[in-house]
Amino acid sequence: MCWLYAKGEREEGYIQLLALKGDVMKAKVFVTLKKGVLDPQGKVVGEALASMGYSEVKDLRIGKFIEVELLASSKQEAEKRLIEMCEKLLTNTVVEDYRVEIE
Amino acid sequence: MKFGIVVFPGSNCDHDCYHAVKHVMGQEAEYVWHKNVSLSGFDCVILPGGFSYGDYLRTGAIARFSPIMNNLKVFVNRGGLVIGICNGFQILTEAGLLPGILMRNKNLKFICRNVNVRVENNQTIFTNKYQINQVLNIPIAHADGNYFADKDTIKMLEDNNQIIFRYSTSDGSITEDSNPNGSINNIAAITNQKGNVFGVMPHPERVCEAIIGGEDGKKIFEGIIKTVCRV
Repeated sequence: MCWLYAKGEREEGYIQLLALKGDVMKAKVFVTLKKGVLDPQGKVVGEALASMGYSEVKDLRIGKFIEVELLASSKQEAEKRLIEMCEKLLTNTVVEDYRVEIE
Repeated sequence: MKFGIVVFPGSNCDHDCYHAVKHVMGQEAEYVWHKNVSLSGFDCVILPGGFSYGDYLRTGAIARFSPIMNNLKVFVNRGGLVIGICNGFQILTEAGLLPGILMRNKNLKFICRNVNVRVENNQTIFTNKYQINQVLNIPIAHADGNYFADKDTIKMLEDNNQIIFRYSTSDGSITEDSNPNGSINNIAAITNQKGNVFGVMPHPERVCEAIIGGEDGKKIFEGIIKTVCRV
């Protein structure tokens, strides 16, 4: 268990001390395009593979892989917070899906 | 009237916007740093083009969390006018102030050239100085201008006349060839339901003076001024 003190500023202008405790957890976030969303980049890369002799490739879609280290008191809490991060910033839920894995 | 031009780290079309509204249109204008939290005194806020936060993660994804954006939401709810140009349009969609998303251009290239757009709705604050179906020649400069939204959202935009410009040929036909980036239904500009937020991928601020290539963008600012100043 470790304690970490962080400073945060509120809009009113005073300093607020936040105390975070927990263990360092490693997590992986996989961001992928939703089915049905056009992926021109994936298409071009698939065609490039075919032209290199890998004609067995039928489809290819490109996503993002994000590694996150975070403090959390439990795996459940880590997952909950990461899902919030995905919904708010890490993915655009109009066109992207995500999957979170905590190690 | 007073225009506020928000400047994010990485914005680079702020000076062109300032020049257009202050020197060409003769209105008051101020730059608003993204960390400011006040928009009081402004009648219209411009989110200019550029590469805010380097387009990191997704274009506009990080700028939407800049301190100014909370106040922008309040400003919008109060009926304030907002025009998001290029990166500004991307920021507005990420912030949820406009529906949909601007994705990577279909041909994966950064496109920097003039295009034709057709005016689909001239009953808005931003387009009331144009003729309906008028064709405008305006430059685009973007790699992520491919407008996308789900079927229901597109239907809503079409039914509510929220689609303001569509990419077209020079004689006003909506064709696949005239669509530079693959946007659904050739969408180049939209408004929100209330009609006070306007997102446009082409750059009207770059065509307000004949001497630098054209004046087709000028009437957007004339329309805003006409509404606010009631002239």
